[in-house]
Formats: sequence, structure tokens, C-alpha cells
Amino acid sequence: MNMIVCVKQVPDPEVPPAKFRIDAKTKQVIPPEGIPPVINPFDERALELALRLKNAYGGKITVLTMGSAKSESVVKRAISMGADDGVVLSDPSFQDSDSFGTAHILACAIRKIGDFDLILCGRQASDWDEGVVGPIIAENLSIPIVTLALAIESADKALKVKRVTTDGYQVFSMPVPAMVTVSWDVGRPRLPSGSGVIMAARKKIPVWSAADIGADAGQVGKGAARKEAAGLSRREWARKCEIIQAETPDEAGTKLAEKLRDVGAV
Amino acid sequence: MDFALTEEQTMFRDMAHKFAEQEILPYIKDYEREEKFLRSVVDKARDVGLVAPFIPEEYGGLGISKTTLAVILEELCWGSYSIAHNFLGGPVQPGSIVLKAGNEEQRKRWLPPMCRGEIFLAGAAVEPRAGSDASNIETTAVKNGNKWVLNGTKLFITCGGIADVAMVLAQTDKSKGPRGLTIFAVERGTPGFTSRDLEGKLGFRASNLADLRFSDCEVPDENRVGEIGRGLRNMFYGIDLARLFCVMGSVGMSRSCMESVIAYTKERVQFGKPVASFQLVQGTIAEMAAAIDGVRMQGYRLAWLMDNDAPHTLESSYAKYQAMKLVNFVTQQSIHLFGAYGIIDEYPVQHHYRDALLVSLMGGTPEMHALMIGRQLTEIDALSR
Amino acid sequence: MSEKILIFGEVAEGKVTTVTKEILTIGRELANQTGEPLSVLLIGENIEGAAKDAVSMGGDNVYIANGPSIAKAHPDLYLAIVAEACKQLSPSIILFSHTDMGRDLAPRLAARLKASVTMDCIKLSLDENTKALLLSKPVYGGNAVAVWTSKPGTTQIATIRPRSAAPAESDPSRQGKVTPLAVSVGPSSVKGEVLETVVEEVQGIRLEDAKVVIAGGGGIGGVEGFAILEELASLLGGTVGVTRVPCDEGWKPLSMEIGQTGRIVSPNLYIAVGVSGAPQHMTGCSSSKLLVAINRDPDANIFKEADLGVVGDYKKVLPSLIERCRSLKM
Repeated sequence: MNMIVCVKQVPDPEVPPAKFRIDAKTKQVIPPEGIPPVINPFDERALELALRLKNAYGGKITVLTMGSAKSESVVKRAISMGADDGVVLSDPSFQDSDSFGTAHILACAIRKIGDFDLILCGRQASDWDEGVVGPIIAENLSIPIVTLALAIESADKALKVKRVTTDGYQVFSMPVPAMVTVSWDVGRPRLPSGSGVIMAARKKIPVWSAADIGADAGQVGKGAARKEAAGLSRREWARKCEIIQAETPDEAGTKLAEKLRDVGAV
Repeated sequence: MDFALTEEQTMFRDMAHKFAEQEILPYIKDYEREEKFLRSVVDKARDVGLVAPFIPEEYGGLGISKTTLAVILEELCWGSYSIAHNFLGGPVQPGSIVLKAGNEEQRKRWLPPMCRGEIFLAGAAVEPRAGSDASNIETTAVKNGNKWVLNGTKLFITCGGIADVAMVLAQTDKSKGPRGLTIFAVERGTPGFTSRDLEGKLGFRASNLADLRFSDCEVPDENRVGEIGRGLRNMFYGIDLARLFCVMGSVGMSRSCMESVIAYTKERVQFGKPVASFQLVQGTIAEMAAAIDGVRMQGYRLAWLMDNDAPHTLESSYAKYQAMKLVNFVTQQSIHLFGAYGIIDEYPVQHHYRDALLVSLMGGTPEMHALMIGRQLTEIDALSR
Repeated sequence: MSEKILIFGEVAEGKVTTVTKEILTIGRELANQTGEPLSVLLIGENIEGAAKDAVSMGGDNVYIANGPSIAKAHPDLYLAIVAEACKQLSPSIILFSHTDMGRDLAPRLAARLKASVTMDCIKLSLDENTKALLLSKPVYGGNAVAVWTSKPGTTQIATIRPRSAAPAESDPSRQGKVTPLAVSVGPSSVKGEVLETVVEEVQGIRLEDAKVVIAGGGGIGGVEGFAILEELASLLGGTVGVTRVPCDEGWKPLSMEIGQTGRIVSPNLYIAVGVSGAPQHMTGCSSSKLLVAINRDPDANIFKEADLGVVGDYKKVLPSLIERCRSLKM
């Protein structure tokens, strides 16, 4: 089963909230100092699902990322985990693309790669938390899509996809080629392997420009963006915490009960 | 002089650190309490290629450089020295012996299954009356036709109780003293070879330490590893790399302790202030940090010399000597700064403290290294043989 | 006819769902502000009753399109119906609830209609000067809030996070039109099929309905640790939820997860036990009336998010808390 996994490089979401900074004027998040960006954890889980499918059915995994030359690290990370190949899509004209521009760029690259059965990406990116690029790519390529995939089985040119729902799950059958977005709940992604690290470090990752993939200039960049940020602000901490003072944890528990009674919560 | 880590080393470092977080840290407490050898971690290590990665690719390893290995060792031992030892430290000595001193058939026979985590190898030199004084070996190997008959006891052999093959240093010619020693590979199941796990250990509890006993144990000559009489030199191949493990492992353990101390002292409040705000405490932390930084650099330099096939006897002793001082100082001070919490196994410092007790003895005691350095520099042998 | 604001409403068992009532509130307010009528699209069979309810809750024009119930429908089919309906109705603002179906439909519809799309919005407002629609939504895992606006003339699609508004109240005296919409979609609009739909039974009170929630995080340490949380929940008439960590560790199922990729709750009392207070989780419970935190780490982020806090080991705090609550209840 030949697969393409779309991954995004994002600021490390594990940075503690106290270190989170915003530039309100440019409406951008200031990357935390000294902490390198990482692969979007949701995309990493999509890659994990793809690796399981490769283990089960064979085939090739190609990783795509849109960004700058520095985005190469997420492609290398993917290769160290077991992906076969990867490409960075980078061009000055791609800057400030919105989700539709990004989806257009990825779709063009996917068409250039050509041979694929399944495209996978994370359910959303941990920076802007939209979760729309995958579905838009599917529309662009006119291929079926199932979101929040938990597990996939392959059988006669069709896929059986288990999808997470709020109250349980569903099982879909879908023809290939197809797209899935992947649920967080596929489980912890595997560690890179030693041989994977060696291979990834040695590999030269190609960079494709707008011309290489035949991107339509009218569909990318700031000019094509359908929306823009009117504001970005830190979440307000509206509450002021009263710490219950006590000599021992037992006493604290007792006092907490009384406090809850006082405020009418119990 | 380029001190920067390569891209490959950075990726290995991150991977080894994650491995330590996921596959080592959660198990420390239980395996310490039960004093059980953590077998499952070997399988997990094998899955990502961390069992003996220093072995060349053709024999099943990854063929990574010693400098890359140094980076990996620090992260794994940041998790736990004794647990990392189960899959990486254990193979270091016997693996290197087979690689450097063994013949091709022996390499092909033992190294690939070792790298696959299928068999364990152990290096067996130490005896009741031969620790630092390796030439005082009393285990004998007597030729009988095409076989050798071994008799003797080995003590405190790491992975000895689970080893499938033990590289045993035996005396083949008493008259030649240190040049009359030879190494024999003794396979588990050979009649006359028994082992007994050491229990009630104060440290290294998640790892295996055992006595090995040879009683008229017959091994074929094919199992002789290296030339007759070259046993001591061949044993040293293993000890050499084991010292790197010791140095970088000490750095990792110490760093873990220091990080725990910093986090704890920032949290713990006494006299209305965090303990980390007291000058004496900051002084200790600074000492730890500076020492860790120093030994790390010594370890990297030692690895570099090994990679470049340069002589490194002195540098090895310098690094080892400093590493043992480091690990004793840091683990002891860490327990101390944690106050009573230091002795509770909910906190990681206790585990490192216990392991440090053995780490400062393996691969040559500090005293031995001091004398080796002294002998090199003064050209006077104070080792008094 | 150019209908400005269109709501996609969800119907379950013949009734308009709670989250649909919530977006009716939002849609109604927006309609009042803009002076435009509020349209609602419902899909199903025999749902005239639900349509009338939608009128009573603020819809001016409620359209019914024939189709299977949402529980059984393939998203492709609903997408085709909604896209067809939008061709006929030409809305400039389309609102969905951020449900399984809404999340699926919104971006794909936006691609088909060349509209903008903004997901998981918590607030809609109009710019004072330009009167442009402003969509606020949490980003960076809940660390920040972004406000998005679209280029003039762009059709805008948004999904609304559950609990962002109070459910609309029914006013039977409200006037409005219910119109069947003839929407024909070919079978080729659906690629694949739904083989199975499984609804897992909920034990006890649903998290979204609970007045009291006791949430356990990574600090619980293991599945056994939850026993005492369940005891507390039972005593206070509430239910237990979890952060992402217990799900990742396999201690508890993901149906219990509260947070950005889980459930949004707003109980009267929320007691977070062994929860660090990461924004991804807080975003799921931040509208709780009273938030209490119990955590061993005095630096934990949760103590910035809570009203009341106890720094200590939950294993020691909860037993005395339970005992005292019990004695106070007498």
C-alpha cells in the first residue's frame, strides 16, 4: 500500500504555558527560545498509523511538508521512524498561505508523486487547531475521505476504516485512492530506530518549488488567503486561586470540604 | 576543533532520551524492589537497535562511532545505569572481546544473535582473589587432547547469571604469570558450568550479577577466543569500551540527579523561601554542574581518541578517575539535598545512589587508575607487583 | 433569494439537539444584529415537528431536506445535500455545530463553495466599524484565542464549540416559515459506505450533563487510583472524567476525556485531581462555575486556573475530604 503522509512543523506544544508568548502586533506566536520546533504530534500519530499499515501490507511511505528549508527536520524525523522518502515544499510564493493555499500546494505535490493508495494526515495541527487541510485536499483531488481514523484494514482495492465518534465508533468502507485524517487515539507513536536515524541523517531531502509542482500562483500566498487574523491574545486567567492553608494534607482535605460547604458547592 | 554534535548524533540523543523516559524510568522502582533482571527492556532496546549498536553492521550492530555511542550512553544512563547495562553495558565487554580477539567464525556465531537480543554474553575475569590484580587469576584451563578443562570460580560477573556464553579468563601457563592467561567461551549447558545469582545487592538490583563456577568443565578448542597467553590483553579490549560506558554513564546519572535536585529544591520551601534560594545549596548545584560538564567533555574526547585509533590509556584513566569522583559526589549530595525524601524510592536519586556504589568500582577502581596515571607520569611503578 | 445566515441544525430522535439550540441562540443574535433573517436547514425524514421547534427557537425560515437520520448518514451524502441547499439558498454565513458531522462537513463545504472556514469557534461578533463578522476560537492548544475575519464578499463557514452559548428557549408564539427543500443528490456523491455504527453505553451521568465533575489526570498514577475519585463523585452526585494522560496510558477510555480533543463540560463544581492544568485540558472545563485543584506540585499550571487549591498528595487529601463531606451532609 503506497502512502503519503502530510506533516507540519510546529512550535513545541509541550512548552509550559508560563513560557508562551504572543506578539499582538504581528498576531503571531513568538517561538520559545532555545526550544526547537517539532513534528505536529497529531501528524506523528498519522505517521504511526501509516507505519503500522506498511508493516501489515508493505508499500512505500512518502512524507510531505510545506515550510522552509528548516522543515527538513520533520521529514528526517519521519524517515528515522520508518518512512521511506520525503520532500520539503518551499517557495517564497507559499508564504502566508491559508489552509486552502496549503491544501493546494500539498495536492499539487501529491499529483506529482502520482502513485498512491492512501493519504494520511493528523486531525489538526497543534498550532492553529483548525483541522481543515486534510478534507480540503480530499476535495481538491476528488478522493473519498474518512476523518478521525483509529484503525485501517485493507481488502480488495478498498479500505475498512474504524472512525472515532463522540459516543463510540463507526466502520466505513472506502475505495482507494483515499484520504484519512487520524485520531489522536491510535496510540503513542513508535520511537525512531537506530538504523532509521542513520538512514535519515544520511539522506538528502529534496526541496520542491512552486514551479516543480505546478502550483497556481493565484491560489497560494497572502493574496489568495480567504481570511486573516484580526487579533491574537493570550487566554485570560480569570480566576484567582485561594490556596487552602493547613499543616497536613488530611487537614487540608477537611478544610476544603468545609470551604465547599461555605460556598454552597456541596 | 568541532564540539558540535552532528545531525545523526542529535537524532540519536533525542531517541535515546525518549527511550529512557518511556522504557526505563517507569520500571525502576518495581525492579529495584524486586531485584529482578528487566528482560523486557532488552526486547524494547532491540526493536530500536540499541542492543550493542557499536558492533559493526556486518555482525548485526549499527556500526556507530564511539562518539555517537557516548551521546547515547549519557541519555540511557540518565534513565538508569543498571537497566541500560542490561542491554548495552552487558554486551560491551564480551562483545568487544569477540570482535577484536575472536576469529571470523566466532564473530559470526555470537555477535548477530547478541545484537538481536537473543543471547547474552558475559565477560568473566574477576575472582575471589583477583579483582584489581587481574594476573592473580586462579581459574585454570588445562589442555586435554582437543579440549580444554576449566576449573575455578568467577565472582560478581555482570549478566553472568543470564549469560548464554561467558568469556572466561583462565590461566593456561602459571609460569608465565600475566602472559599465561587465555580466554575461553563457555556456553550455558556445558557440563560443569553453573552460575548462581547474587541476591540482596545494595546496588545494580535491576541488573544481574552472578558467580560462575567451573568444575571439570570441558570446552572445545574452537571456543578458545584469541591466542594462548594473550588473554589479559584480549580482555582489555572489552574493558576499554566498558570504561567509556562508565564515564558517560556517570555523566548521565549525575545529570539526572542534578536535574532532580534543582526541581526539588525549587519546590521545597523552608523558612519561607525555596531551598534553592540558599547560597550553600546553589553552591553545591554549581559544583555538580561544572563537574558534569567537565567529565562529559573528557568522555567525548576519550571516544574521539578511540574512533581515531589513537592511544588513550592516560585519557581513559583521567576520565574514569574523574567520573568516579563525580558520581560519588553528585549522588551523595543529591540524597543529602533531598533531605529525608532522598531515601524514599519515589524519588529517582536513591536508585542512582545505589548504582553509583558499583559504578565506582567497575573497570578499575579509582585507586588503580591513580596508580596507573602515576606510573605513566613519574615512570615509577607504585603498583608494587 | 439571498439568505444571509444559515444554520445547519442536527436532529436526533425527531428533536432538535442541544448543540443546535446553542447555535440557534448565536444565529438569532447575529440575525438581530445584522437585521437579516435567520435560516435553518434540517435533514431527515418526518421532522416537521423539529422544524416547528426550530422556528420557536429563533428560526425565521426553516428548510427541510429529505435524507437519512444523522446517526446513520454517510457524511458524503449530507455534504451533497447541504451543498445543493446552499446553491439554492446562497447564504453568506453558514454555521455548524462542532460535532462529528459538523467537523466533517464544514471544511469540505468550504472547498466546494470557495468559502472561508473557521473551526471550533467560541464567539461570534461584528466589527464595530466594518460590521464584518469576527470569529473567535482557541488556538495553540488553548493557550491563546485568535480572532479571524474574512475578505469582504467571501462566504463564511464556521463550526461552533458546544457550550459556547445557552440553548435557545422555545417561544411557541414566534412566527416563521417551514419549507421543504427539493434537493436531489446522485448516488455518485457518496464514495463508500457506513458498515457499522456503534454507540457505547454511558455508565452513570453523562459528562456533559453532570453538575459535578471529578477529573483525574496523570498525577493519579494508575487505574487503581481512580477508585477514590469515583467514591467522591458518587458522594457528590457527580461523574468522573479524565485528561488526555490517563487515556494515553490506557488507564481510562477516551470517552471519559475532557479537553480540546475530548468533551467540553461546564458543571457547577469541577475538582481537578492530579491534573497539571495544560491548556488543552483547561479549554474543556474552563466554563465550570467553581474550579478546585488538588495537586502535589505547587508550580502546576492548574493553580492559575482554579478558584480553590490544595497543594498535597491526593491520596492523603481525598480521604479526609470525603469523610468531612459525608459528615457535613448529615
